[in-house]
Amino acid sequence: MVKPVFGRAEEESSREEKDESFWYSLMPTVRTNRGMIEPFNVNKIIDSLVKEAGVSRDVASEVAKSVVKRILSSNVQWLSGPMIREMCCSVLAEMGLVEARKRYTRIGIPIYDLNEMIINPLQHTWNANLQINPETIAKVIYDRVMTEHTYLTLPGHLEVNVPTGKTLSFDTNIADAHLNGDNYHKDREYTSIRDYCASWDPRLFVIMGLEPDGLGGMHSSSAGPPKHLAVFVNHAAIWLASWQSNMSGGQGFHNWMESIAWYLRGLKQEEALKSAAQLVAEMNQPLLGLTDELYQRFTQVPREIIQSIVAYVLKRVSQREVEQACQHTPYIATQQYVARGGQVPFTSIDIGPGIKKEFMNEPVILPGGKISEKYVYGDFIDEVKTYFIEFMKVMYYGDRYGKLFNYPKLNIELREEWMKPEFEEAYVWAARLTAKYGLPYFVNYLNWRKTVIGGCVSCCSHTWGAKTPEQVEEYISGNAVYGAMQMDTPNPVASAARTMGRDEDAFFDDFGRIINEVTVPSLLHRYEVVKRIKRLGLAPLYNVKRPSGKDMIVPEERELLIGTIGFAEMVEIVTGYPLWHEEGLKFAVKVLKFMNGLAREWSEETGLIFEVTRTPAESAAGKLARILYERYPEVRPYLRGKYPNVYLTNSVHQPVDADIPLAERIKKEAMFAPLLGGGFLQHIFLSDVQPDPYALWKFIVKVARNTLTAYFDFTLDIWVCPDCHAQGTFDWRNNHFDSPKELVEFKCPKCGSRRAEIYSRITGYLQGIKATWNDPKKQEFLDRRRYNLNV
Amino acid sequence: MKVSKLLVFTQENCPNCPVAKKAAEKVSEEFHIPLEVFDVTKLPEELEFELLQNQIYIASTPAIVAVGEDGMQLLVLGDPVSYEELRNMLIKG
Ligand SMILES: [Zn+2]
Repeated sequence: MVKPVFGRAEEESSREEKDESFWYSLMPTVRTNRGMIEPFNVNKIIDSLVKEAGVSRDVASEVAKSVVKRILSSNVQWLSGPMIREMCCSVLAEMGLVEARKRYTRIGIPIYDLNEMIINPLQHTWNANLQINPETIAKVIYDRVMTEHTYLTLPGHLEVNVPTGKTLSFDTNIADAHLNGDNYHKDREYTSIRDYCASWDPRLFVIMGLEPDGLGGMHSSSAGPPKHLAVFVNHAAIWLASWQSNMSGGQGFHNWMESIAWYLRGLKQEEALKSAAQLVAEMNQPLLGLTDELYQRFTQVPREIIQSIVAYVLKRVSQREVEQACQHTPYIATQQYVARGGQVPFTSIDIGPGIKKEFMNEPVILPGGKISEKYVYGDFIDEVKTYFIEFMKVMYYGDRYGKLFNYPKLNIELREEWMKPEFEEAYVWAARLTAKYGLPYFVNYLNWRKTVIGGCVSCCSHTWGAKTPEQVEEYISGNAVYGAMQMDTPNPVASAARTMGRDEDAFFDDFGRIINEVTVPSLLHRYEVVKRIKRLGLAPLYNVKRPSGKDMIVPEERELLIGTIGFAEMVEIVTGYPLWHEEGLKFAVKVLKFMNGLAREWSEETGLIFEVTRTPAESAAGKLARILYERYPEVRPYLRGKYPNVYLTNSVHQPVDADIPLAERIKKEAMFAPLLGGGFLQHIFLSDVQPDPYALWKFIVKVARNTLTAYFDFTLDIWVCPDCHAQGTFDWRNNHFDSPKELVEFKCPKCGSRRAEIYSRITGYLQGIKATWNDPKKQEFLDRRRYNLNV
Repeated sequence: MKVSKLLVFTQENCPNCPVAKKAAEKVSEEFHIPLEVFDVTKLPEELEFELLQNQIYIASTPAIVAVGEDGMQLLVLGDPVSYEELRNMLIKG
């Protein structure tokens, strides 16, 4: 053991110590973290090393002595707390005390980088949802610090108490596995402080009102249940925004139509509306030029007709109210430029043109939670349809300048009960919106998914369904909160690279090891974090009670997602066949089943919910490919794109540039959907300039009925100019780009403005390419094979 | 579609399975179409893949699939089915 070198100040027994206090008197003063200049005190260093680095007093004394020697011998005249700490860390590292150094180090940003981040924040993030503004700078700095914190503090040894009553322990290195590209640990900047994504029932605020702080409105204000349509819409937007500040992933609503139905009442009596409209049409001319003679005629109009006119005018008012509420929704979704560093919240709404069959005969839940004795949800089927069409129109006409609304993400539900002529007009409006902007998403309940009850979508592409009778009850009664707590993506391409030239078993051994030893403990780590957040009350909203009495966030009910990426590349390395070949497809199914098997085993072992899902991979696709490129040169030929903009194909998708017909592509992706219980979104990249909406609607139904697809979209590339406000569908016949760099040079075809932006679907959402997509994703955008529907 | 085989998928504790299976057996005899019955929880890997390729996933039972020259067609998925109904489906193609 090291001999104690430094004693307490009051012990002055040895000559050595007297010498030391002489040396200390030569030390410069210190600028401390407390914002003061203080005399040097070696005991402060020793105490802090013992407390923070966890070393013995002897070791701490030795480190401190070395540091003092260095300062004196270098004749430094300016000392600060951070500087002393840096020197201590350097000594700890030299002594081989790596773990102690990790515990003692400062997390921060080199001043050069920080200056760069302040001036050019978007060059320092891979988050495609960030735009330029001062809050973004705060977020970029926050992200950097917290990500580094995650790398340094993700435990090497993890013990987790799980609902089955077991205590599981893992020796793992989640941070290194992420940096090595073996497992992509999503949400690094948030994994230690937040939960991930959720889909809510608007009836939660219809029943309870709104207190965004989760503290009884003490720090915000407390609003009662909404009584009018406009207030409902306001509450909805604030609900999502306040949850966005408590979670890292997307926030959405399910049962939107059922929840809003009662607020649309009065829009009913379509018959009355029609007759009144007819009457007014007849009387329109005389009313315009109201001569005495005509006035005489008018007053002789029977009383009930006048009443009809009054009713009509009132109806117009109420219809106008609905229109306004519809307009309100996308505006609040895209104008609350406040979430997570000045982003608009990531929001989504699941909607359909009617009331779902399981709600038709259910009594309406009124504001405050009273159960209506007068109405069932089915009473409002006409209002809901009108509302749906209005909503589609608002989205179709876009904002003030006709620019598309990229939020809320509209998830259009395709359900058997609405596959009737009376709903076709409404659905064609959704197709019209698709043809114009490629905006909405289609959630399919027409194929094998017809048995899903309590279905919804959240965040980028996670799909859910009630699994127990209790969950069905929650779904019906407005108490359901679905969502995921964390997503980790094991990288199958790394496993394929490591086992190249060996048999399939070698691949499965390697891939299984990554899932069991990194992915699973990493997911369980977030579970521990969310439990801690709840226990310490760090996110008060989590502990607010739902009407059923259950907490808003129940960690045991949140899904743990095992993501998928790079199947196209992995399959080709292992089997020698492309993913669209039968052998490739077969192996991909085998790997998915293997992953599902592990997910099932871990669900049983822990009592938690593990599911396999599509990874959005807006950052992971490029990051992992780049690591693979450096780490395994032999896989370079299998990576997509061109170095340095190499990327992996998303999830189990066919490569974007695969030269296969559209029908084949859709089917050869859709067949994986049943094996992705956590959700799978398919894209259909269109080259058509505005396909015919009626034909498109027929095509949508065909895809939904004849394939296994669960969730799909049509992606159009749209350009928008902020200077001349022109916009249009991107014309690929007259535009060619050799590189992502050229893409950034794109100018407005009308006025030549360099500020013109191109919107496309980066993954499960739309975002401006020039401002926010990273280079590998830009490369993917250029490689995309686009299809003409010929419909 | 000319049907060369019928595949019936059942499982334990499936209330509508026995009736569907009987219906399939009767139809199979009447039209001289071979019939195979599978427990959906123990599907052979090859068959499961073939079903997926034909855009069929047995999410619930009873399920009946007709196999023809140009692929498979899902006739029943999770709903009760009678002999008459199944017979009609086959005649209509
Ligand atoms: Zn312009």
